[in-house]
Amino acid sequence: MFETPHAIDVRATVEVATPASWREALQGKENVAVLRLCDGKGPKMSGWCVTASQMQGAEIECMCGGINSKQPTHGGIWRQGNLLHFGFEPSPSEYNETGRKLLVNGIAYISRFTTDRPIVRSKSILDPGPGASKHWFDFMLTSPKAKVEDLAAWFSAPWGEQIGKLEMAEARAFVNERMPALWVEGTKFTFDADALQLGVDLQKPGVVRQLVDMLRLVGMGTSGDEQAARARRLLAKLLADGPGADTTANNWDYWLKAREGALCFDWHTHVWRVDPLAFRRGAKSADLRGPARADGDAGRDRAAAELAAKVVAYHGGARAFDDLATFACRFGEIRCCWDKQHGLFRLENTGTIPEDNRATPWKVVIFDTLADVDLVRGGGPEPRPFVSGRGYYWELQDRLFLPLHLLEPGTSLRLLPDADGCRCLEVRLAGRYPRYVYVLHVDPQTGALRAIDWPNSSDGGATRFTVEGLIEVGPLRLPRKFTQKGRNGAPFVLEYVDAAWNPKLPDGVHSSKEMLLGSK
Amino acid sequence: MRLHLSVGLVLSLTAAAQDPSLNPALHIAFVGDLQSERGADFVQFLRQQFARVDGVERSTCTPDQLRTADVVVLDWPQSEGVMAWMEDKKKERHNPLGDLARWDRPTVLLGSAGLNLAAAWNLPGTQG
Repeated sequence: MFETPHAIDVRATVEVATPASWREALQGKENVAVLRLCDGKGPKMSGWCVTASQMQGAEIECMCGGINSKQPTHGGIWRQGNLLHFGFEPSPSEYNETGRKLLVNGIAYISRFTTDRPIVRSKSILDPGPGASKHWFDFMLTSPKAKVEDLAAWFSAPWGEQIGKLEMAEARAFVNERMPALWVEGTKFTFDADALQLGVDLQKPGVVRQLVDMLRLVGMGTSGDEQAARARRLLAKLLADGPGADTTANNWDYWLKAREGALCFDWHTHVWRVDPLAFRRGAKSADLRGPARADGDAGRDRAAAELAAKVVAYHGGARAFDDLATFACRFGEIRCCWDKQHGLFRLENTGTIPEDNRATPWKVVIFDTLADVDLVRGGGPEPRPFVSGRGYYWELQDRLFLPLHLLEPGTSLRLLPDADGCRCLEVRLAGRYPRYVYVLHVDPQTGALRAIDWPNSSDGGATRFTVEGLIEVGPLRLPRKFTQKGRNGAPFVLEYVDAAWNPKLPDGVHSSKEMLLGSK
Repeated sequence: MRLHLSVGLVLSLTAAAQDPSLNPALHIAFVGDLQSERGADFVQFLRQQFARVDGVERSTCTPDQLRTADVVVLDWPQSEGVMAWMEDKKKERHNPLGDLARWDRPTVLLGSAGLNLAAAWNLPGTQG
C-alpha cells in the first residue's frame, strides 16, 4: 500500500515527542519517527483506531498505526476481507501529498479484494451487556495494572470464585494451565468441561480432526462411548457452520476432508470457521495472509490490458455493462433472468425428462449471487440430488459476459503468443476456482471474440469453443453461439436466444416457485 | 478513540501532486454528505484521480446504488452512527451498505465509518 500506484518514501519521517500514552510501551524513548500526513492543522475529530487484539483473524492485516491517545499497537489503517479501515479523518485538501497518496493507494489496494470477506465476528458495542472481551482478557493476563478480582470477574462459576481466591501470579498460572479449554459462555469466559476431560486444545490447528477421530470410539467400551459423546458435543459447539450435531462419523469425515485446510480460528467468538476464500481456492487458510488474499494482478501487463480494453469496447464497453440492471435469455429448455442490480439469478426449466431417463426433474431455481446461496433449489427431495443455481450463474458469466469482465480489478490477464491469426489472452475471473482459466482468441483488428478455450473438468486440458454470431442486445454485443467439434463429428452447440436488455421482471421473480418467465 | 496526526502550518486548498495516470481505471462510488464542504472535497479529489466517480448521498443510500462500483468509499461520522444509536436505542439504524451477507464491494471506510459499520455488522473494530 505504500508502494503502488504511488511510491511513498516511508523513510521521510520526522521526529516528534513520544506521545504520553506510548511511553509505557516505549520506555526511555524521548522521540518517535512518524510520517506526516498533514502539514496543516487537520480536522478537529482526527480519526478512529482500534486495539491490536481486534485485528486478529485470517482475513485481517494491519498496515499502520498513527499517533494517538492509546497504545502504539493500535491500528490506523487495516483490512478485514473486502473492508479497508482508513481511520485517518482528514479530507483530501487537509492532507499533504503523502496523505493523499496513501488514500489513493488504499483505494487501489482494496479494489483487488473482490472475493475476500470478513470471517471473524465480534460482539458489538450496541449489543446489550458487556462481552467476554479478548482485549480485556489479554490485559488481565499481562498488565501490571490488572487486579485479580477483575480477572476473576470475567469468569463464570465455579471458575470465577476459584480464581478470586488466588494471588495474581497464581491466578494467571491457573488460567494459563487451562487455556486450551478456554470457552465463551454468554458474556463470560469459562473452561469447557469436555475439553478439560479430553485434554484437547480447542484453539490448536488439528483439533477438529482430533475430535472427529474420537467419534469412532463409540462401541469401544464405556470410556470410548463417553469420549465420543464429549467429542460430539464439542464439535457441535466449536464449528460455526458445521454439518450438524447428528452427523455420522463418516459424514464428518467427508465434510472435514473438503474443508480441513480451510478452517481458521475466530479468536473473538472462540469458534472455528471455514475460510471461504481458502475453500474456494483449494488452499490452506494459513497460507492465505495479507495480499495473498487479493484477486487479479498486482501489476497488470500493459499489452494484455490494451488487448482486453479492445475486447471490452467491441462487446459494448464497461459503462454499458454497468448500465445493465436486468437481463433475460433462454438456452435449450431453460429460461433465465439475472437481476444484476439486486444480485439475484432465476432459472426456470420447461423441459421434461423422458420416462427411461433417471435425471432429476426441476422447475425453478433462485440463486442469491451476492450472498452466494441458493434461495430456492430445484430437484430433491432427498435422497434425490438438488439443483443449485450457482453453476448456471457462473456459466452465464464465463460464457456470455466473459468479454465484459476483462478489465475488472479482480481479473487476471496474461498475453499469450498469437495463434491461428488471432491474438490470445489468458483470463481468470475473480472468485473462480483456480482451474477456471480461459484462453480468449481475439480478432486482432476489431477485438471481437472468435473462440474460447474452456478448461475441462476431467483431464486438466481445455476444449475450444468457436464463437458464432452475436446477440445485439441494448448497447451490448454478446457471443450468441458456441460450437465445439464433437468427437464423433457431430458438433456440440450451445446457443443463447431471446435475450433482453433491462427487461421488466415479473412480480415474484425473487421468491416465487411458480413458472413466471414464459414457455419456450 | 481519536487519531492525532502530526500537524504543521498550512492547509492546502488544492489537492493535486500525484499523477492520476498511474492509478488503475476504477469506478468509485463515494458515499457521504454531498452537501458538506468535506463531501464536496472528496468527490472533487476522487474525480481528479479516477476514471469514474459517483457521489451518493449517505442518508438515502441503498446498496443497489453501489452495485457497479469497483470500490465504494464510505464517509460516515460517529455522530450519525454509533453515537446517535447509543443515545436513542429505538432510533432506526440506517446502514447505507445494507446487510453484511450481501455486501460484496471492495470498500474504504474513512475515519469513523469503520466504527459504525463494525458496530452494525458485529465485526471487530469497535474497540478503540
